[in-house]
Amino acid sequence: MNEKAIVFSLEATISLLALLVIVSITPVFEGEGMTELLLLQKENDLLKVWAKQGIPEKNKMIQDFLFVFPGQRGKIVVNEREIFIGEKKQGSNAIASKIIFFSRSLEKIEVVLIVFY
Amino acid sequence: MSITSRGAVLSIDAMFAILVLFAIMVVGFWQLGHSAEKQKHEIKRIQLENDAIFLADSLVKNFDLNALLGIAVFDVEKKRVKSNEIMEKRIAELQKNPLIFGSWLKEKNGTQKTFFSKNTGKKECIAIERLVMSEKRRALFGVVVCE
Repeated sequence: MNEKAIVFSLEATISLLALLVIVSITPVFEGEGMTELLLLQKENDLLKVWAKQGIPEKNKMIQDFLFVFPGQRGKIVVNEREIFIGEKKQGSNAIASKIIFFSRSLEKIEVVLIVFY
Repeated sequence: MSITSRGAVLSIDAMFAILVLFAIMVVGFWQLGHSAEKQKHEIKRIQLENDAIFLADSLVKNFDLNALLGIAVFDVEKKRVKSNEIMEKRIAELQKNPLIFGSWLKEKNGTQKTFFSKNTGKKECIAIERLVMSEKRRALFGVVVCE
């Protein structure tokens, strides 16, 4: 055998091969799908219904929210008045939508709907 | 490994290393095949989710004489579609769509009206619910979409 060649020990060969296998493992793409889009669409549904049928009182708003987003946490802001649904927790992802419309008495109403997920 | 006049002679170490190499290659290829299969399944699921979301969105936002393209109310006076207001009587027509396997309206008081429910067999399905107004009442309009 050529004395000048590189000689791998058994351990080195195994390590290199193991490294090769680890590197060649393709990471599986686990996309989140369209969950965020669906949340956004549902937020828009709720805002549209409120705009068409009129902004209900606080408790009804919470009921409506939980009807559309059962078991989820969120926040509704109506003309800067905040309503929290579920416990306040830091570090969640959130999707927010805002609608501005005028009531029959031409009063400007601004509603922000935030869903945490 | 040494080369003799009779050919290559493998030491036990070298033979062991070659066996380990084969074992690692087998595991590696199995892993690749497995992850490719998982990836395929994941892409299929996302595709189904896309189809279901866009189909449900189209149904509640559009009006067409063909119910499969939209069941929203059309305001003749204002000449525009009232999105998120649907015609309850047209929901049953959706069963003609080969992708839709079920549909219902769920009201806030808990009552649920199922319009149709087809046998899904072993198909992978996804259910989507959207808030709509039906006859001036708020309800969740649900559709089951299968692959």
